[in-house]
Amino acid sequence: MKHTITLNVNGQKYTVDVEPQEKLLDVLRDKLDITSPKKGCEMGECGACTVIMNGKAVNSCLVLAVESQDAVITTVEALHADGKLHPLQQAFIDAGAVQCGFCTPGMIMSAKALLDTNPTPTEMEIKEAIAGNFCRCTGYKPIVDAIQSAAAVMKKEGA
Amino acid sequence: MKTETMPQKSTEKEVKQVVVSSDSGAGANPVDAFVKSGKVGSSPSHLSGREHVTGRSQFIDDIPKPRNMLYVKVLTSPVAHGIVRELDCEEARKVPGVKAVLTYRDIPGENQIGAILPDETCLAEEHVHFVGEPVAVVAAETAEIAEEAMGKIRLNIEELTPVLTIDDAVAKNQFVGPIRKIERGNVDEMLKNSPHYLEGKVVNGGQEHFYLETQSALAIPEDSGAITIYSSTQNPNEIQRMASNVLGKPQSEVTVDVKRIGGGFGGKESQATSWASIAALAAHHTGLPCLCKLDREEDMISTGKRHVFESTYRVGFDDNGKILAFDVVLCSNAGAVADASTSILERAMLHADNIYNIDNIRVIGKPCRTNLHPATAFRGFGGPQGILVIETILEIIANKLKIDPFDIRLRNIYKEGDKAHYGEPVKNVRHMETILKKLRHDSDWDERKRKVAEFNAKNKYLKKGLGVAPVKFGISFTAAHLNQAGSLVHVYFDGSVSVSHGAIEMGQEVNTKIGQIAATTLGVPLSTVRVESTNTKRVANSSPTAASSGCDLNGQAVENAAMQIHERLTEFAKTLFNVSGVRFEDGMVYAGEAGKVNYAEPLISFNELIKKAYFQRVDLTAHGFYASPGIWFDREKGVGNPFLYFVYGAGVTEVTVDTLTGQTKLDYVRILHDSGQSLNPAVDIGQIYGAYIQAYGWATTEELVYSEGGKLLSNSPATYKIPTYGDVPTEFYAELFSGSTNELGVKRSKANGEPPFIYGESVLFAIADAIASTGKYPVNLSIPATPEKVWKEFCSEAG
Repeated sequence: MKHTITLNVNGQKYTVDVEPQEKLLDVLRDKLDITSPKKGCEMGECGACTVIMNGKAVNSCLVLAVESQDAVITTVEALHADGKLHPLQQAFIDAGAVQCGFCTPGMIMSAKALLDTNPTPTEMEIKEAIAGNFCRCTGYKPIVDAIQSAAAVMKKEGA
Repeated sequence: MKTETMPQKSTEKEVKQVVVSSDSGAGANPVDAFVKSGKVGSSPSHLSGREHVTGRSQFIDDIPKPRNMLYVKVLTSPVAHGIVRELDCEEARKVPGVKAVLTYRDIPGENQIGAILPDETCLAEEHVHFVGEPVAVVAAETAEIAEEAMGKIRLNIEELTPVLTIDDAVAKNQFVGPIRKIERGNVDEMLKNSPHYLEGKVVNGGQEHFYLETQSALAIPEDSGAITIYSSTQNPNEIQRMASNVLGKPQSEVTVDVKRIGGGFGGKESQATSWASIAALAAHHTGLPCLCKLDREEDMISTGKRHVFESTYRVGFDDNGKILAFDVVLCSNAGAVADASTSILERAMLHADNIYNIDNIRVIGKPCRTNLHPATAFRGFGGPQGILVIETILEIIANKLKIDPFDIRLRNIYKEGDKAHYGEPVKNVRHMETILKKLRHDSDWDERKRKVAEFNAKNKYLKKGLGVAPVKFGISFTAAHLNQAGSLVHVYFDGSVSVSHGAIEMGQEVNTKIGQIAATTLGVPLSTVRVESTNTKRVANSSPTAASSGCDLNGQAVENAAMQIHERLTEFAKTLFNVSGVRFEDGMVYAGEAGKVNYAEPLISFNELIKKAYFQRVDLTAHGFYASPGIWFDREKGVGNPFLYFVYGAGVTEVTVDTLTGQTKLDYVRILHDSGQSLNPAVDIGQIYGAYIQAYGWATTEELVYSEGGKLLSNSPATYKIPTYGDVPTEFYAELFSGSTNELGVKRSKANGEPPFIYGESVLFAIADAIASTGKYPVNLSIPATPEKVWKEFCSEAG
């Protein structure tokens, strides 16, 4: 049986019909054409589909679409404004934290969820925040460098 | 024709100033203008960086779906070996929304996709040879309908006993290609006469690539029976060749286009061909666009992985640890089809010496055919497996004779002028010795060793260990014909530049580097250069992006094309301004008398010159070509000059191992790596980090587990553990060796993708060292040294 749900994605309200078994990831990608959350494993292990839902980083492949009724969802598409990149986005580029780029949107969203609630994370806290995000290219070090340097920039900017 | 030489800023000096060491943190520093200039040797950021961080970069599944696109699912064999007794698709065809159900009988051309040896069908016929082998194809309006229909195909297979192990294949004499040998000196004689003798076996497990983007292809029918395939492949040329073979069309009617891929690591060199050919077959039959994207489990079960090797050796050495004779038989588990296994084994054989001069050496290679998924290219391409044997032997000898791991390596190392076992001079190997000595110093090896011993004396349950792994990696495809590349460069009327080449962008930033090469050669800013998708219509007959050679080969082809345009423009400008010397720099044109070009005042901008050149009908497009010189290898005799040059380097690892759980923690890693004159130091450092961690995964946690019937059980990220951030070393340093240049590489650089993988082998040696500190020797460890295996070693009695 179809359900009609209303959700807020990147500041825009959407009303969509979904099947009970349909996942948030599929709704975002196939119905709303928001393709930054990637299908890496569809079992909540790789983190490539990470989005922020009501302030928390979630694997959108593990969220049923019906659970996202009235949810506020942010994907990486919404991070830059007026052509200016978010400090995390800029830091990922500057630190060489992007290689093939497939894990990047999910990785940035995990990092953003962390910095939104904890602007000065320790290395251990960063480690915990991105523990569920795989990257097969970079060896992770540049990613952590990027998150640390973005945190510093955001603190300076008072963001 | 000669052009003016700019008063040369010392590139080497510049490179040193750039972040070549990670100690200071890449990108965190204030950078001088050169770093971002985009010139060769500087470190401009990823050309697609902005696309990636804003979520706009498209992978195959992100391409807006064409109208009426169908979803393709592939029914694969559930058994490792058998005879197909029934394949009935009638019920599946009746499912509403199904547009086609196809088997090998529906292949209009040849049912063959084996690129090196023709032993691989696109869809199975009477026999199935491995679990996951494609058998039938469903194309339907939705993925769910395709899935449902797939469940209605009746497939009955009479099971046969599969051959799964190397031992079994050797016993049954089952090989995918010929057994090869490389030999010099008198091995048997010296083995008898050496003061010390050892024999043993070195085993390594396979490795799943786990590229984040699974195998995917979108095939779109075009006018007049043509088909365009967008594929996540490292090898568009092979897909064009094989898909046209399957469809029975000329290659000119099949176009393959690749913008980027979400990781490859070798896993999409030949293993993308099946899925692209299947998508093309479905598009051919239905006349509609068809998307074939594997889910993670399908991908892990069906597609190729790193080769398992089991290598038996005999070695003779003297009291100083100098190896006098070495006899090794390398056996690889190639799986059910040849794929690139013969070439991979060849590279393993050519790297059995690593950095050591062994006068009496015999290397035999056997590529064993079994009923597992194909084994395929994976970063290092046999090099890591070949090197692992000799490095393991040195570790054992060092322990036996109580020689320091650095000392024993330096006692056996090649000297300038020495030749490798296949006869090629090991050019510039003097750098290897320098690198080892510098790394020993920079890593405080001797002091570190003392502290590790101190720690181990004080701690009962935690034990530390140290390891070192050097590499000499031969650069070139050992199949000589692959060492060629093409390019196409346009300069448009407004001065902007379009660059096409044959390499695939997969995160190694080949596009960034090649953009730098084009910009530097033309004398324009990098921001005016666009590097295009890789497309078989723009660059034909390209080689796979593999063997670390993507930038080496294609970069030279682009340099060649850019140089042709540069020369035409130089001649044009000389005539136009009646000068004898012209120089292009950062989008400006400088001129003057030959040798006395005035750099203070540009004469005209590059863009203005292009407009004038266009009106004077100067050709502003060039096709470039490059073929590596002097490469050959005689497989029958095992001699030749297979490599253009060698990459050198070494890595040190310190670990702490928990004796109660067997878990390993990386405390300290330092790597010194030779990139020649690096094209982009930040990219090269990034490749080193990535390769090391990937190799650490292979060496420790990534374990492929099969059922007795040959089905992969570790077929998801829940059961197969690749490294996560928690595995990153507490201290992780990578540095580019500054003393090297390379007149044979593009802009004097060296290839960089695979060689750093070898440094991860030092993890295995460090773990063995930690175990040995308890008095247990020999340590019986193989790759992957999982916590379970390590724990068992701590528990077992000293041998």
